[in-house]
Amino acid sequence: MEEKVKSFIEQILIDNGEEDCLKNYSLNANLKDDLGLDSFSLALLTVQIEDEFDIDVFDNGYIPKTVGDIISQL
Amino acid sequence: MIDFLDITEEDLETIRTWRTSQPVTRYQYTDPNISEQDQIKWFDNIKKDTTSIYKIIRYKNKQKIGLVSFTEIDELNRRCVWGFYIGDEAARARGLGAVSTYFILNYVFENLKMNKILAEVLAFNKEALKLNHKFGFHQEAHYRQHRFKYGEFHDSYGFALLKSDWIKNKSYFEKIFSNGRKS
Repeated sequence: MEEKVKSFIEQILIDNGEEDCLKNYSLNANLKDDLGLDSFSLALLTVQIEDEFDIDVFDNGYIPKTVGDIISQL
Repeated sequence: MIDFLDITEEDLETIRTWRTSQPVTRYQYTDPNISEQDQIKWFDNIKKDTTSIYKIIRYKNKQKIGLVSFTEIDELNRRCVWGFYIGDEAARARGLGAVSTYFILNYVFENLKMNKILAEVLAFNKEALKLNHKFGFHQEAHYRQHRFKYGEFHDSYGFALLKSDWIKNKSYFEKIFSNGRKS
């Protein structure tokens, strides 16, 4: 599960030309501040996770801030 | 996934809360103190204004998340100026600004039948600059020291997207954000 989420994030960062941010990857990595995910990237990540796991990680107003926050919802 | 609603009087307080919240005002040209009376006056004015359209942005048919404006609507040249904000914090966090942009562009070119859409973005609004580039907007202007905010002058950029640009690019976004998704 975590590997899948990591692969989504990796691909998004590669597509954005921001591979450098991959070195910051960890469960505690902040999605915006550490991984540099912008609005478009977060939208893409959310859609990909929903497609893969059929779970909306932002459901019920929850706001995941880190990779670990996302994993905890899956 | 996203649709647009007419503003009603019941929305005015929500809009006032959004518009005066720091995450929204920091990228607007002004940081206004808006009273309830000001808000009612604003609503009366936009209802009479035939060159502007304001809509509430709604997510998944249930959650009102922000506001979009189309102003300076020029029917002859089929162009207008647009702006939007996502007032809801959770919606901002999940990137619904980007998702909304896709639906707004479809709306402006397909429903409003515009040929060109224009926007001005403050130079320090890095997120909006990236979003404009991502959606294929062309930078057509660089306005030096154009806006006075937070005690200093700031540059801004003029962006524009043509309908023909959008037709070329939209299939990419359609695959990601299309209406057929779990909405």
